[in-house]
Amino acid sequence: MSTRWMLVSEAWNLNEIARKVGDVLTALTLLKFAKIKGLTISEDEEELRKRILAVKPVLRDLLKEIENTIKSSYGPPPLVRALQEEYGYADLKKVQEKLRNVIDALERIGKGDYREDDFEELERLLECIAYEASSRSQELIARAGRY
Amino acid sequence: MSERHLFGIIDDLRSDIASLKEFFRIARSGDLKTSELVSRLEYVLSEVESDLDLRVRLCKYLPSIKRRRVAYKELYTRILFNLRQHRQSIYLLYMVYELISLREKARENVTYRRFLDLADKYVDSLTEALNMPTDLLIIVAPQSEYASLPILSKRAFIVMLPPTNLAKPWKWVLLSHELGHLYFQYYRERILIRILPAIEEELRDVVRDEEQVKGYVSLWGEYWLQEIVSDIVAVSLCGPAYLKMLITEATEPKPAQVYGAHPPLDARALAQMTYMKFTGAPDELMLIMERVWREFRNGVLEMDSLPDYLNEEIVRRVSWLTLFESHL
Repeated sequence: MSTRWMLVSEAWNLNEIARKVGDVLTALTLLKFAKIKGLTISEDEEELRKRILAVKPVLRDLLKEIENTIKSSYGPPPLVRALQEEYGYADLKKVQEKLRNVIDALERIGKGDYREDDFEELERLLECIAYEASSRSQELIARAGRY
Repeated sequence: MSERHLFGIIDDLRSDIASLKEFFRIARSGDLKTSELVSRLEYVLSEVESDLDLRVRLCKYLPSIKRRRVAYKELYTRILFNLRQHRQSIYLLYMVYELISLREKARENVTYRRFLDLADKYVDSLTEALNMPTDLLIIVAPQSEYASLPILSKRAFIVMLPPTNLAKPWKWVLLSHELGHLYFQYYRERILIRILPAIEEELRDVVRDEEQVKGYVSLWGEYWLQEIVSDIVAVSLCGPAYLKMLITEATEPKPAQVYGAHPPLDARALAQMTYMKFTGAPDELMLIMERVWREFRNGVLEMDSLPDYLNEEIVRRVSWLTLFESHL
C-alpha cells in the first residue's frame, strides 16, 4: 500500500471515530444540561440516552486494543497513548481499569441513573478520544495531501 | 458571542455537499461497480447532511443559554467540533471522488473500459480465492502507482494501478499484493499478536539497545510486517509470476536497502521463497522462483546483506509463522 493511501485510510477510520464520539459528547452535554444543570432542553431524553450508548462499541474496541497492547510488545496505538497521557499512567492496566469504570458510568447513565461524577468522567474520556482522533485525522489528511 | 459563525459554517458545508453530490451524480455511470461505490459514498453524504439539520436545531438552544456563559461555550464548542469532523469527511470523500473520476475518465475509452472490466473480474476472483467477505466491494481505479485504499466501514476496497499498466494484464499480478493488505487489515490483531513477539525475540539477539529494539518492533508492526505478509499473500495467489513482476516493478539497484514503509527487495523475495518452500510447493515451481530471483540478483553489484533489524532469520521466522497464522 502506498504511504499516501495508508494515511488516507487511517484518517478515514479516525475521522469516523471522532464523528461518532463527537455526536455522543453533544448528546451527553444536552442530557447534562437537562438533568444536572437544570436547563430547559426539549430533546427527548430516551433518544439522548440512545445516542450516548452508541459509544459503547468504541470503548469496547479500545479495551480490546489495550488488552492486545499488553499481550504484545507493540507500542500503544494513538488513542490508547492519548489516554495514558490524559490520566498520567504509564501502566496500561491502570488505563484499562479507568476505562472499565467509565463504561460502568456509561451504563448507569444509559439506565437513567444520573450522577454528576459519571458525566464528568465520561466527558473527560470522550473528549480525550474525540480530540486525539480528530487532530490525528486532520494531520494525516494534511500529510496525505503532500504526497 | 454569536451563533452567526456556526450558521455560516453550516451553510458552507451544505454547499460543499451539494457540489460533491453533483460530482458523484456525474461520476455515476452505467458501470455497476462505480454506481455501487458512489451509492455507498452518497450514503455518507446524506448522513452528514441530516446531521447538519440536527446541528441547526441544536443551535436554537444557544440564545436561550447565553447568560450561562460556560454552558453556552460548551454547547457551541460541541457543535463546532461536529462541524469540523464533517469538514474532514468532505475532504476524504473528495479524495475518493478523484479516484472514481479517474476510473470513469479511463472508461470513456472502449479499450481501457474492457481492460478495467477484466481487471475488476480478475481482482474479484483473487478476492474469492482469499475467502474474504462477499459483501465487500472491490473496485479497480487507475492512479499513479500500485496502491490500495480500504474503507472498511463502508465495506469498500479500492485497488489502484498505474494507467500505463492497464493494458498490461501480465502486470496485474501486482494487484494481489494490494489484496494482501486487505487480508492484513482483516486479521491485523491476530497477526500482530502472534508474530510481533517472535520478531522482538529475534531482534534481541542482534540489537543490544532496548530502545532500538522497541523502535524496530514498532516499525515492523506499523509497516514491514504488513508488506511481507502482503507479499506472501500475493505469491500464494500468483506464484512465481508475482516475484517476477515485483522485480520488474521495483527496478531496484540496491536490493538490501530499506526505504521507509517497504522492506528491502532481498527480504521480500526471501519471504516469498521461504513461504512457498514451507507450504511444500512442488520442486519445479521452487526451481522457477529461485532461478528468477538468482538471475536478477546475481547481476546486481550490491554486496550488502540485509540490515540486522530485517535479517534473514527474522524474515524466515515471519514466513514460517505466517504459514500457521494464515487462512491461505
